[in-house]
Amino acid sequence: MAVANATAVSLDNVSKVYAAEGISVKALDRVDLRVPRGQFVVLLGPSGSGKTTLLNMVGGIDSPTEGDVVVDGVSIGGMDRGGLTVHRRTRIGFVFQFFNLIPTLTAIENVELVTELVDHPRSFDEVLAEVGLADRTNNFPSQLSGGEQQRVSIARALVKDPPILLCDEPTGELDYETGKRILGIIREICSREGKTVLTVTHNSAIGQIADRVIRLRSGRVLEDTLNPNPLPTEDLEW
Amino acid sequence: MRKIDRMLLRGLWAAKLQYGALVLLLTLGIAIFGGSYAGYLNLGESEERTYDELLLADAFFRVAQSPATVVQEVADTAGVEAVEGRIVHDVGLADPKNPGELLSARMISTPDDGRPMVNDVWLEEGAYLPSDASDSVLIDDAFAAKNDLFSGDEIELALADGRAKMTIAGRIVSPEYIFKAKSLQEPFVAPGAFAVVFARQAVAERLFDEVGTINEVVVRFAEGADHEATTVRIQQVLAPYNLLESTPRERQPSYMFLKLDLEGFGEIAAVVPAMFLIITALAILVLMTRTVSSQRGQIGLLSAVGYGRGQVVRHYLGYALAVGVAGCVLGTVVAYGLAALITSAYADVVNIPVVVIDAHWPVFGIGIGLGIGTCVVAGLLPAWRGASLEPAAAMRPPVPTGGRLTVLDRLLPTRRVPFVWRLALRSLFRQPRRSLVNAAGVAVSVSLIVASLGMLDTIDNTMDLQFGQIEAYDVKATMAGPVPAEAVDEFAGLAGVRRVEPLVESPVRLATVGRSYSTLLVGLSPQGELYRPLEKEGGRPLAISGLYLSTGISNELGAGIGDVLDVQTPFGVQEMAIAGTVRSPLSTVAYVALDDAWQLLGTPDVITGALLAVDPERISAVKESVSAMPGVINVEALSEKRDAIADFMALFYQFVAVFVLFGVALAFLVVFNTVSMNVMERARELATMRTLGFGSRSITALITLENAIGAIVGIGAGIGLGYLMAVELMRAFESDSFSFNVALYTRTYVAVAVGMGSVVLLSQAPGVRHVNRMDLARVTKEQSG
Repeated sequence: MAVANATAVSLDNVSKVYAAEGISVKALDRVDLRVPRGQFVVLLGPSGSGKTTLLNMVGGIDSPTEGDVVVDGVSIGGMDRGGLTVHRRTRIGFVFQFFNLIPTLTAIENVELVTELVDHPRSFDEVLAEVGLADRTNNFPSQLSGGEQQRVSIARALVKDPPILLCDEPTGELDYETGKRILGIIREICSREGKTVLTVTHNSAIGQIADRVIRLRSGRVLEDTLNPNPLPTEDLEW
Repeated sequence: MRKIDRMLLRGLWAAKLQYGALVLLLTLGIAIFGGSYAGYLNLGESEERTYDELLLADAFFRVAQSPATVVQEVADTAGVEAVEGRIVHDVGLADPKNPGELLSARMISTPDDGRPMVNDVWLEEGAYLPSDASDSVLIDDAFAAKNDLFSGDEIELALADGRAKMTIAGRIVSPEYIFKAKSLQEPFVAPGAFAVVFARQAVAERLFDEVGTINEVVVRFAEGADHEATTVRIQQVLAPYNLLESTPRERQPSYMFLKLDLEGFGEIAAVVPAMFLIITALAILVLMTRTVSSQRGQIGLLSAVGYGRGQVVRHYLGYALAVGVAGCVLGTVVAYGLAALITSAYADVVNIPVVVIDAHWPVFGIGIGLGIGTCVVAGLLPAWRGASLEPAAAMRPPVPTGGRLTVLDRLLPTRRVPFVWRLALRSLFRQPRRSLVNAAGVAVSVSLIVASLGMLDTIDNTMDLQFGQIEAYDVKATMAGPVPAEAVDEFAGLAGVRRVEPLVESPVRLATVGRSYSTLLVGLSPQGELYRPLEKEGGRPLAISGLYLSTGISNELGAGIGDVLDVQTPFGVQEMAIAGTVRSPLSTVAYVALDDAWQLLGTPDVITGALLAVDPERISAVKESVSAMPGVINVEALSEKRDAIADFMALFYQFVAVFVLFGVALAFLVVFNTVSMNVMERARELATMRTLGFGSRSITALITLENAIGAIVGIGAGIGLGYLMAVELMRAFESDSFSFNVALYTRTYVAVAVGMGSVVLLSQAPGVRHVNRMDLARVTKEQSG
C-alpha cells in the first residue's frame, strides 16, 4: 500500500498502435515506467518518438492498445468515458503548447471555469497571483501576450489542485526569456506543493532542470536518467 | 484535373454535409419559387383559356321577368357581340342518395337549338342536350361525381307546384360555376349538395310556366367596345323589366372568387421563395466566410507557391458556384414537376376543364439567375478577403478574437451567472453576424410556419364567428316564394324541433347616387336567437327600423349610417335609411327587421323560409320531414355549410401543410449548418474543456444553451413577423364578401415553440455527437484557426 501511494504514475507494458486505412503505426512499444510522487520528469525525443502519446495515456485522453496505466493508484486503462472524465477532472492538470484558453472568457474566468468541476478548488485569485498575473485578471486572451496566456493556462491547471501536472511543449510557442520564466513557475510551484510533473519537450536543454529525464525513440524508452542536482531554471540556457 | 480543382473537390467532400445542406436549401428555394410561380401562371392561363373557349359572358343582367323578345333589343345595342336570354331559377332536388331529403339546384335554360353563343359548357361525360327531348338535362360534373350520377340516370326536381323527373344527358363544367358559389352572398356550398342543371329553353318555360319570358340576359361585348358605356345602354334597355342585378364579369361569383383565390396564391408564390432565397444567401455567406477562415494556412501556401489572387478567388468562388449550380439544376427539375403538380391538383379541385402546363422558362431562368447570383455574391466577399491575405500572415495562426466584454457584461452582473450561461451568452456576441444569421434563419422559418398556421387559425376563428355566433340555427328551410307566416307553426310541430324563427330573404339592389350593389335582403326577428348579426356601429342590430349593412356594402356604396338608399326588390322600389353596420365575415347581406322586410316586399306576415333549432340526433329526421313539405325547395343544415367550406379549403390546407414542412426544413438546414460550423470552429475550445474535465453533458448543455438562446430570439421575432405576414396574406383573400381578423390561437404559439425547439435539438445532434467523440489528443494539440 505504501509503495502504491508513493507511485504517482505507472505504465505496465503499454503499447499504442494507430491503424488507419491499412497502415498501422506503433506510437508506443511495450513501455514500462514508474514515476514517484513529486518528481519533475522531462520526456525528450524527436517527433514521432511517442512522448506526447505517453502523456495523453496518463492524462486519459488516449487509451493504450495493450498494457495498463495506473495513475494515483487507480488503473485507467479500461475506464469508460465517464470514468476518464472524472480522472481528468480530479487528478490531472494540463498545460498545452498552444495554451488552449477559452477566448470568450477573461483570464480569471478561464481559471475560475474549472473550479466548478471540483469539490475543493484553490482560490483562483491566489493561483493567479502565484503565476504573476494578479494585475491582468480581467483581460481576455486576445489582450494577453503568449507568456501571459501560458501563465493563465498553468493557473487553470493548478487551481483544481491536481496531484499530477502534464505539460505538452509548454514553451514551444514562447520566446527564450518567457519560456524560462514559465518553466521556473512550473518548477517552483510543483516543488513547493509536491506535485508530480511530466513535461514533454523537443528541447534537451530543459532536461537540466528536471529530477529525471526520459528519452524516447520510436515508441520505446531509450534512456531513463535521474538527475540528483537539477539546475535552477534561472541558470538554464539554450 | 488541376491540383487546385482537386483541392476544391476534396474541400467540398470534406464538408459534404454542410454543403449538401446548402444545396438542399437552394434546391428548396428554387423549387418553391419556380414551382409555385410557374404553377400560378399556368393556372391563370388555364382559367383564361377556359373562359375563352367556353365564351364566358362579359356581363350578366338579372330582371324580375321580361319578354324573350328583349334579347333582340339587347343584341342590337352598340358594343354587343353576342347575347343569350335565359330562365334561371333555384329549385329543390331530391337527394340521389337519400330521396327523402332535398338538396338545392339552380336550373338554367339554354337555347332550343344548338349551343349557346354565351356561357357554353364543357362536356365531361355523355352528350349535349338533344333538341327534341322534353325531359333531358345537363348536370354539373362536381355534383354528379359526388352523387355517382351519369348520363341516363334520373333526377327529381322539386318545384313550387310539384316535382319533375328529368334524365341526365351529360355531365358538364360551366365557366360560371368553376368555383361553385351560389352567389356572392353564399360563396361556399358543398359540391355534392348544390347542383347546376341546364335544360332547353322550352323545357324551362314549361317547368316554370313562364312561356315566352326570361329573367336573365348574358352578354359578350364586341372587341374594342367600351364595357361601361355598353353596360349602361343595356341597363337602359332592361330598366322597364325591374332590373335587379347588373354584374360585370369581374363581379361574377365564380370568376371573382377564383381570381381572388389565385391572387392570394400568387402572393404566397412570391413571398415564400423570396424568404428562402434571402436565407440561403445569408447561410452561404456565413459558410463561405468560415470555410475561408478555416483554410488560412492553405491560402497562404497557395499564395507562397505562386498562385495569383485571381486564381485563389476563383478557387474559393468555386465552392459557392458548386452549391449554386447543383442547387439550381436540382431546383429547376423539381420546380417543373412541382408546377405541373400544383396546376393539376388545383385544376382538379376547382374543376378547371382546360389545363395549361407550360415550362415557363423565363420564370425558371429568373430562379436560376437568382440562385447562382445569390451564391456568387455570397461567395465573392469571403473569397476576395481570403485571397487578399499576405502569405506569411495567412500561414500564421490568427490572433484569438472575440475577447471583449459584451453589452450584457456591462449591463448585468454576469460574474454571478454560471459559466455555462456566461460562455453561451459571450459566444452569441463573439460572432454577432453569425448569431444574427442563425436567429434570422429561425425567425424566417418560424414566420413561414406562423403565417401559414395563422391563416388556418384565422379561417377557423372566422368560421366560429359566422357559424357559431352569427348563424346559430341547426337547419334552414327555404320556400319557393313568400308564404303566410303561420307556416312557422308547421315547422314547430315537428318532433325534435326546439325553436323556430321566421326568415324572409329576397334578392335586392341597393342604390344611391351613381352607385348600386346587388345582394340578398335578410329579414329577421329582432328578438331572434338563431341568427344574430354582430354589431359594428349604430347599436344592437335590428333594434331600430332601417338597413343594417356589412362594411363591405357600405364601402361599395360610399354610404353610412343615416343615408337613405333606394331598395329595389322583385316587388318594387322603396327608400330606406341605413340604421347601422354589422360584422359579416363570410357573406355580404343586408339585414332588416321582419317588419321592414314586409314593408319592402309589400306584403305583411309572410316568410320565405325558417330557421330551426333542432335536437342534434333529430337533425336528419327533421330535414327529411321539412323536405317533404309543399313549397320547400331547399333544406340545409348549418354543419353542412361549414363542412362545405372545410371541403373547399382542403387543397389550401395541403398548401399550408407544404409551407409548414418547408419552414421546418428551412429551420433544420439553417440551424444544422450553423451548429455544425460552430462546432467545427470551436472544436479545440470544446475539446480543451473536455480535457479539463467537463463531461459530455456539460458540453451538450453549453451547445444547447447557445442554440436555445438564438432560437428563442428567432422564435420571438418570427412570431411577430409571421403575424404581420398572415395579416398581409389574408388581405389578399379579402373582398367586399370576405373580411378577416387575423387570429393566432395559444395552441399555435405552443406548437411553434415546441416544434422549433425540437428542430433545434434535432439539428444540433450530429454536432454534439461529433464533439463528444472528438479525438481529444489530436484536437487539443492543433493550432487554433
